[in-house]
Amino acid sequence: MEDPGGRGYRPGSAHDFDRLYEATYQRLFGTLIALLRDRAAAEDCVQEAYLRAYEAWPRWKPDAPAEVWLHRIAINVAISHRRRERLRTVGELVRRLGVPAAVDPSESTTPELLRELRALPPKQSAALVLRHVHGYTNREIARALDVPERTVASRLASARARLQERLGWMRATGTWLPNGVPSDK
Amino acid sequence: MTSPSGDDDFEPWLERELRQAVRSARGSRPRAEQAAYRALARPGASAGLRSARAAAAIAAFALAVGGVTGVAAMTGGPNPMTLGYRVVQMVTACRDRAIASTPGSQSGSPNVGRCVGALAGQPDVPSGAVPAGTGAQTKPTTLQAGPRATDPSASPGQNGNAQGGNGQGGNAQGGAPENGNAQGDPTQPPKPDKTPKGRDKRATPTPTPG
Repeated sequence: MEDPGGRGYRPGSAHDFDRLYEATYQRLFGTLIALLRDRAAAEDCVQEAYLRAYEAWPRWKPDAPAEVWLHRIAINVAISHRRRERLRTVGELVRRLGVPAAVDPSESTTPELLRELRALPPKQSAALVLRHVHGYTNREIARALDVPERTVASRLASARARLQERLGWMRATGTWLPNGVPSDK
Repeated sequence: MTSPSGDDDFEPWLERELRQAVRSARGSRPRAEQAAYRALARPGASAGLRSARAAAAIAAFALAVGGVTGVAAMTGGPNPMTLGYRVVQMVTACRDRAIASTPGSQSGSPNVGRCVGALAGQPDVPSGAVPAGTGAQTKPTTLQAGPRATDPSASPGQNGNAQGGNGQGGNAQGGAPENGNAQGDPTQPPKPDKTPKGRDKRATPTPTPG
């Protein structure tokens, strides 16, 4: 993958970090929107990721693209966020005990693909997004997720298989609505 | 290629749909100036943290010595809930002034310390009664009638950051109608109200550039 915004970032340089932020924000946000439940959560996590990255910026080693390093931080933040969210959901379930949950209005407008993607384990969905949206190689994904390359390949395969199963089934039963647009069929 | 159910065409289909879904979710181009990390990047941010600790120590001292009176002195009211927020307000205001007044300085710490100390001891004091030693000066105009009469352009190094115009309950008690400056200097852009939602705004007057 390319290092957006150009190479030559100097660790610790505030100006370079600004450049990095502006060059990579949308790609990081694009990754996290596929991992997290909503836009607000993705924005919060991206900001937190940049905050952490900024603190670690003087120690950044330019042996890999800066964006991969940022992705690593952002995905960790997103995974922590999802963990907290899951705990909160369990707490709510226990509190409700049989009372039906309120419907999240944003859910009905979310594309099926994003919904299915968010239902995957976060490291699987992250691998998919890094590969298919951002064009990362397996090696770069491995660096971003801090796992061996073989693990990346296996995660990608599992994620694809699961998505294919779920989305293929939806298509077959007529419930598949690409990008949330209602279909007459 | 229209169906995701075929083995061969699933991957290109997935790639296309994923890109489209993610692209549609993207917002406008980000600006580094608005990023959260910029709060850390600001010169004097670390000094601000040190000052915040100093302010917290002052607050603790006030609580220990004066109890409710100490809290009231710092917050402009007897509500301890506003104390933390008030301290942050004081430190932020003092630090900004100190840094603005000394462009070469990265911290302005001594001034911040004096400024916070002055504020902590001066809950509802008109600008004319700013503590001695802080060197507060006010414009020799009719504007100095109210508590917000401190010249905003004056160097805090000279006026000692006494915050005569930014003092406790500034809006509340600076309401001399003839003052004309009770809402702050009209030539200055308004500062956003930092009062958090759900707080008692009456008890936490928001400082504006005085």
